[in-house]
Amino acid sequence: MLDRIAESLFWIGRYTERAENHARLLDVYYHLREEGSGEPEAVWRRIAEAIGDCALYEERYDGYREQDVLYFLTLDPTQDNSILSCVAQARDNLKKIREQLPSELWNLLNGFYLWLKGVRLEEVTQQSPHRFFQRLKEGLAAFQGTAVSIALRDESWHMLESGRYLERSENIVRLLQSVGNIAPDKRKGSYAYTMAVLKSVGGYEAFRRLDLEEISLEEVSRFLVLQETFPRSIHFALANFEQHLKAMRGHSEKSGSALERMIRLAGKARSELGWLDRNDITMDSLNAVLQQLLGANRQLGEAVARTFFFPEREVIA
Amino acid sequence: METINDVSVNSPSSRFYNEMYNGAQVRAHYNHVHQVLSRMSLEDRVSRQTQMNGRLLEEGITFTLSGGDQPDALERTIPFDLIPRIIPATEWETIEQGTRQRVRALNAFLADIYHEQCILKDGLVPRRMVMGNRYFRTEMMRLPVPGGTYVTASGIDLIRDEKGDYFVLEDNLRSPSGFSYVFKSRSIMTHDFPELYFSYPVKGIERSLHDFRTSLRNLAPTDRAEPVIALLTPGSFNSAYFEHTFLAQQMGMELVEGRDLVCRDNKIYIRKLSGLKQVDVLYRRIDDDYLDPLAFRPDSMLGVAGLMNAYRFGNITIANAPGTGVADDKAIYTFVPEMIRYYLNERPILNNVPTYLMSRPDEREHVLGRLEEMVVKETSLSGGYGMLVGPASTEWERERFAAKIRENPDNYIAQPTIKLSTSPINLDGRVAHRHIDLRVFALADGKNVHVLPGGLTRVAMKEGSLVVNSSQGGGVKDTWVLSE
Repeated sequence: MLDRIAESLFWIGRYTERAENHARLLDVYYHLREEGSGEPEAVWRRIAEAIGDCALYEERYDGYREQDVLYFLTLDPTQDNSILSCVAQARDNLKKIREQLPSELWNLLNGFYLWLKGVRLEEVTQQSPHRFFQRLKEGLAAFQGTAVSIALRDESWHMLESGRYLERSENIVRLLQSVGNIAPDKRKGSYAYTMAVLKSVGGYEAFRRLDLEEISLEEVSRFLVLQETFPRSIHFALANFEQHLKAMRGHSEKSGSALERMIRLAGKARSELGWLDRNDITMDSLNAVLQQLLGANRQLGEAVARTFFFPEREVIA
Repeated sequence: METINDVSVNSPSSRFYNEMYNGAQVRAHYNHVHQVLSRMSLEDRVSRQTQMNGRLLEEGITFTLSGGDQPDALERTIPFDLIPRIIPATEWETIEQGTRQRVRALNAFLADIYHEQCILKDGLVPRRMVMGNRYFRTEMMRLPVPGGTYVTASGIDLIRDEKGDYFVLEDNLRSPSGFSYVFKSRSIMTHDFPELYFSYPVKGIERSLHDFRTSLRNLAPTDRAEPVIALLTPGSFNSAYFEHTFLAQQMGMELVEGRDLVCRDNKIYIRKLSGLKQVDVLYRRIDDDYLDPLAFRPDSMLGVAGLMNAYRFGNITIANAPGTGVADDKAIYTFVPEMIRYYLNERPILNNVPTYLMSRPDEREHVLGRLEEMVVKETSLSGGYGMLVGPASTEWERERFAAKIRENPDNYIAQPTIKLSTSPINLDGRVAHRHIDLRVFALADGKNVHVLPGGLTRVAMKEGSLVVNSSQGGGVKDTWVLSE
């Protein structure tokens, strides 16, 4: 596999995952307002904070209003992190390397992108935002499901998936941080948010099944950081990321030592989570834990880039 | 025109051969198409067309137009028409034989030009025209090429005059494109119009991809069981990038850009995560000029430094070979029938369109006196650029062109305005008639010449227009060769 192909695959994995996480979060947060915390500004602000760049938003708009925030986060092509931008980036990367993946995947993603590009915000808010987010999730799930179903399990698959899992672990960290930022005196009222976080990752039923009684920010954070059986927990994501790196061992001689270093890094991040005890995650320590995880994620992202994407150029003729 | 049967209302002008109608009669091999279309309502025809256009868009079957700076506006789907073009078996027999003959002669000509130059010594082709040609490559002189094959993939453009006879309009021997549209057109017809497709005994085209791959494989300089074949593309911004990915994917070739390749010890390698992988055959889709900055244009970033050295050492095959452009030059084209007689000792099966060389004074004066009836082409440009279509030109355009011709007579040829045949197309559910041509694809590997059954029927979408090139907004039809 070529370096630029590896890079494109990695970003396809990252961007499709990111788009899905954003769609899930927006869907839940959007419908949370009906539980009436009575401060629409703050609600929209929190949503924008969770997945967008607030500074950029404030440059463009003078207040946090539903229409503006929704457009900014979903359909704004000039905002790098909007869902449309993520899908467009994934599609552009796939377009460059079409021959590497089954053409069914291209048809799915391209069709999905064309649909999304044609959606108008008025349609979304007039009809049913929930239906819209549902369609987003389904489109991305179809892509993911088809990949699982027919993609060759060679190095390109591992590259795609390692991008996906690294993105996932990073998204969960940010999500928890956005809830953790609620001022301590409002913590009591943050029940609805905690619930929303859990629902946005589709983890509410799982949480219940594990007999975790109390829905508190502490418990939910423990669940999303440590629960290795839940596919959208940080532990699960990092463990899978490490597995996919290991699977590339056989394919990659050139980056042998660099790859081994990366596998060790990922292993370290995962095992540190493994050693964490439930009681290590409390309201007071949560922030520090999340900061550390964020650092580890960033380190891994940089290591991937260094190992796979920027080989030394050479000309020997 | 409400019903498709109502031919008399817009029966095509008799100046052109119509593929479907003979006067008011439907030609026999189109009978069933005609019936099926007549039975459909206008809405049916519109919705069927819409469905097909949707598929084109979704599968990203696009042609990127050069120029412009808006990434979105650039990508266009090729207009696709649901009325197929049908070629009866006997007619195809002639085309296939003629194409095969022509490709063999052109390969013989290139081998001769780059070795003994008998045809120049015998005075059949002016030496100046070959040696002074911008596509002539001195680097190729006396270089043995694998299989003696210079042109592996070629696209021969055919048109039909008012009597329905086929003529060769031009040869595309450098990197002809359009293969992918042939296969995609077929896939659209089988998926979105199966009841029509399966009612005809159409020759399959799937095998041709296999033949293509075999041709490339047979040219490998090694006797390795599975030679590594790579397709060299300029990158995703190229107009034909869709085609490059399609061919790489369908034939299991490595799709590479120049930056993915490196030359060591006069061998060409792909730089992979797992280390270096040697390339045996390079099917290139970039022009000679950009292949190797050490041999040709030093500012080219698209090729790989050292490629020509590796080629000279016999460590890699380049298909099509560098320097083939000398044979698809529009002035050299006039000599192809001569070549067929000279090298093969056969009578040309497919004739040329009569062509005037501007470098011959009497022919030049003849043409300059009748510019409004002529089509003038620059000899070295392709894709429908740099043409003057006499009947559709203004006084001022003709004067400008006349000046250009006098200044540089070697650069121009002229042909009487050609009579392209017309074919019905489905325009918003109604039938209209547009000019078409046919690009026939041939694959040669020294032993055989495979001709893809059918090829690409290109349609000039503008009414009355004679320009069918995709770069000028031309559309395509599926082309069916009947097997009986």
